[in-house]
Amino acid sequence: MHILTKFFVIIAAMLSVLLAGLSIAYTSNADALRQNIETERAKAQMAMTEADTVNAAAVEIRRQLNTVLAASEEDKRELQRNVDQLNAEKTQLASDLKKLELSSQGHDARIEEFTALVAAFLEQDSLRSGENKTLREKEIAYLRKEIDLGERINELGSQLEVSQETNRTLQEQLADMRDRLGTLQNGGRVDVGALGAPRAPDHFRGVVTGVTRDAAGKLLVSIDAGTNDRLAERMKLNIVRGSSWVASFTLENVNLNDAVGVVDLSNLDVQSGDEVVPAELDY
Amino acid sequence: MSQLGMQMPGAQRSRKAQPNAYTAMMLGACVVLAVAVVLVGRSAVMVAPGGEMAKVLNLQDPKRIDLGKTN
Repeated sequence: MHILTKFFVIIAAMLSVLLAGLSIAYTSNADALRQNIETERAKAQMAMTEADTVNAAAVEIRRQLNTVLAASEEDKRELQRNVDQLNAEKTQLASDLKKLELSSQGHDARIEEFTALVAAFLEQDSLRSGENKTLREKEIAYLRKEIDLGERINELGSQLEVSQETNRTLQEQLADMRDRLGTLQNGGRVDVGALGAPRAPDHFRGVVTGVTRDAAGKLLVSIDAGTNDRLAERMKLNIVRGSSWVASFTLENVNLNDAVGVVDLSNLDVQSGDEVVPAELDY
Repeated sequence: MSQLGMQMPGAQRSRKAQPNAYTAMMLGACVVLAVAVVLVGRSAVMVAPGGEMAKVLNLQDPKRIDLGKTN
């Protein structure tokens, strides 16, 4: 065999071995690659299915969102209408506010006028109150003066009555003295008794208000009656307690509504509250 | 020794082999095999791990196919 033939045989054998190895490797890698491709295709198919599902869900969600969007658009239009209406009302209210502010300014001016007027009225009222107070004080003074004058008139009236009574008593005594003088002139006798002592009114009733003794030891009695009750000095009165006679006393000092007398005779101790009656009265 | 070959008893004149048809056929087979190797090698490189010629005889990991750069 020629050497070239041997050489070619060796080369051919080597190429055959190499070809076999390449074929095996190529076949195995191609199978692996095909399997991978199949796996990827399956995954892709699943992904496509999932994508379709997700897409369907997304379509449904989109449809719902469109519905919600439509509703929101409607709400937005409604709100826009409300906003427009509110803006119109706001404009109207601003106009009304302006008018009210203007009227308020007028009212404030009137209020100030009224305030000034009230202040003037208050001042006048205070002046009138002062005048009324002065007038009332004067009226009270006049009334007091009138009361004093009335009391003075009553006192003078009482004194007048007492004077008249005394005058009448003196006239009676004068008449009695004239009778007695006539009797004496005719040779008769006259009984000289207690003359000139005035008599208390028969209807008089009083109350003992106090019992004291003077420096000389005389028992002094105060009663609640005076010239207003037609009492006079030197009048004789009795002090009684119930049906008992207590004492007799003679008036020494007589005022308008009270008097003081000296006890002449006494049966019991004189006490405040004992009744005072005329001396000639049967008790 | 070749000089002595012809002088040795019983020696005959050797006949050198000449290229013949088998040589040509082997040449053709080598050429065809070479072409086949080249063609299969190119395809094997496409599916070899990493797309590298040095790994043309390596097998791909089924769980991790690596074809290298692809156009």
